[in-house]
Amino acid sequence: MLLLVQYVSPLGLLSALLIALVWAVPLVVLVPVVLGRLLQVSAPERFDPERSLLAYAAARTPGWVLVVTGALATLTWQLRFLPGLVMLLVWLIALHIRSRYPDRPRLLLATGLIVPVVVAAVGYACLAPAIRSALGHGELATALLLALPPAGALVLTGPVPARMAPAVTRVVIYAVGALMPLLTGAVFLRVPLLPAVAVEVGQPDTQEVVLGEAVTVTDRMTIVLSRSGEVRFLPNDDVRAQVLCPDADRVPSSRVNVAGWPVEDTALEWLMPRRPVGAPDPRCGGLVPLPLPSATPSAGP
Amino acid sequence: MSEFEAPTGAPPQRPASPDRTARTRWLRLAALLVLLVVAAVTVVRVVSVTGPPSRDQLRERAGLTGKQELLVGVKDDQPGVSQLLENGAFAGFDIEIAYMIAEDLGFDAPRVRFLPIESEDRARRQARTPDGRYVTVDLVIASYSITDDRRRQGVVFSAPYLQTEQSVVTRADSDLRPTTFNDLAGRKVCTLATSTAERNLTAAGAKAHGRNRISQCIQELYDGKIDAVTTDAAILAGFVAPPPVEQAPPVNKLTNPKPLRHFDIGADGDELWGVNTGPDRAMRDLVNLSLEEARTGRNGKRWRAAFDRYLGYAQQYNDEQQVAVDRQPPPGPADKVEVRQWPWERFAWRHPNQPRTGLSPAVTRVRARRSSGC
Repeated sequence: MLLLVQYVSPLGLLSALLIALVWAVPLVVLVPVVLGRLLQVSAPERFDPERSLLAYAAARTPGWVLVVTGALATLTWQLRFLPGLVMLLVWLIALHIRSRYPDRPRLLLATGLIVPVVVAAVGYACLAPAIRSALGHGELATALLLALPPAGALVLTGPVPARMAPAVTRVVIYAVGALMPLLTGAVFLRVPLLPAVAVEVGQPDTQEVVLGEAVTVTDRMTIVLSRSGEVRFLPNDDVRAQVLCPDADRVPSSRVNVAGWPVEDTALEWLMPRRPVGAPDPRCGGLVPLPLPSATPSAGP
Repeated sequence: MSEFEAPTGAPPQRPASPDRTARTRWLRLAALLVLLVVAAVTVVRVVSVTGPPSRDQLRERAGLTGKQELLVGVKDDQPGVSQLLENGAFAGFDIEIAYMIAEDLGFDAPRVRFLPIESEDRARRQARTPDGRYVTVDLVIASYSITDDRRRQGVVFSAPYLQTEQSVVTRADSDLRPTTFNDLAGRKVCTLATSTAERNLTAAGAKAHGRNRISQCIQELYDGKIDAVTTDAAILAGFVAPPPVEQAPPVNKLTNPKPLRHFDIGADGDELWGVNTGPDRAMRDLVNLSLEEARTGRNGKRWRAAFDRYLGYAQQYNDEQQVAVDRQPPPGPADKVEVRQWPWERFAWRHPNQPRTGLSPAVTRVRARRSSGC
């Protein structure tokens, strides 16, 4: 760890942290606002922005922030979490309209019933093949993530019992607050900070291929954190070559896709032009390159 | 679940009854709580479960990472299946299957070392090196039939890669024309020791005796010491068919050869050949993955090319007996393997770095020269 602190730049570490956890920002913004709106429509007498953080978040968060946050989530959340995002947004719109325009029954009907029903119908129409596929592959969690939110969009479009609303919103925000560090920690700890490499070592021919993660290269040494956890200091004179290797942890675990969009891809990843990568270098499997066949000496005169 | 009573401060146009309103709110609360609990459990499970291992992780678990050479135990005296040639190369259907599996395990042809293995040593994976030492090979691909008895003895088989059956060869000038095992009663019949045919012969009343090498049986048949040889049809077919013209002569030459005739004896049951992968489960999964990809087409037509080149060729000289089924047998339920893959790897697209669909003679020549194992 000390070696990492010494050699990994703080800026790089911070960048990795931000890139890995950018998905958490919409969650931190949207959930308190939704809960605050729920508190407002359920128990308006307890909706006090001066005393309640949820009420403050609901009352003070500008609309454009919510729009930007929604867009950010659309781009950075994996497809399997997007139905959940849609559910959150449907709740937010319905509760917002209910608190803002309580005297317009047609608008309330539209946002409280028609929109959720349409969203649920469209959602199931789009996701049904993927839900079937997830069940077929035994991926119950993926199936639930896709199947629950469309129905869930119908749930929270109005108030809950007034005397329960403060407790419920408080418990939910505490639960989210407790889960967030665990989730972000679990995600962040899997983020590769150092590039996976294979280093050919030996003079004059390669004697060994060291597999691990490149910590740094000094003017005398190449420092590699090997897969066994050992830190190897390789003299630069002995290093014959170095190749980057693919990171096995990044291979998706789900086989489900929605119209060709893998459920573990974010919209950004899906939009990026990608093509099948070539076979990894054999050195990434620890194979020492075979010596090239020596050229036949030409016959003398 | 929607409820359209007006909130505080606004007179409703159509006021809902208080009971109904309260009931709706409680229902909404209950649904919300159920939804949140299920969602929380699901999200935690999604984050904590990493799914099946990837191919690289399986290689790591099988101890293949960093390994420089794959040792494969093969037969060296079975033409068309696995035979050691004078130029130091091995040739045959089993050899091509071994190359296919080895490549999927990350070992290109020059890193595959074939070692001759005797029938009795296949279960223990003990093969002999050219300097006389016995070593434990990584895989045994040696016309090894999958049987329950062998499994009970601790042999770990992969999914089957060839389906054939037992048959009999006699000399073409012999009066023996067997159509069942019972026709061999009282006759001197040779087969491989520890093979599945030995029990059938004994049960039929034949004078059975086992040899460690099928070429010894064939030589005894040529010399007139025995009446027939029985074992798997795919093995015998190579002795009936002439060697391919372009193939180098074998190291183990038989003397005084005679024309042979191949008979279908209507033996019950199939002989399914499998790979002895050793006790490591990850190794077995990797081999099964390779065989499944060969079966479903991701590996192109490598299995088909190997079949046509050796067993398909032998079929034309074995009219009365089918050499082997020309389709790769499906895996059993226990042989299915799940691995994490990139989406594009799940489709039967030709990999950019694997353009070939068959075996070119040039490739075979290069492989043969570099993988003599001697």
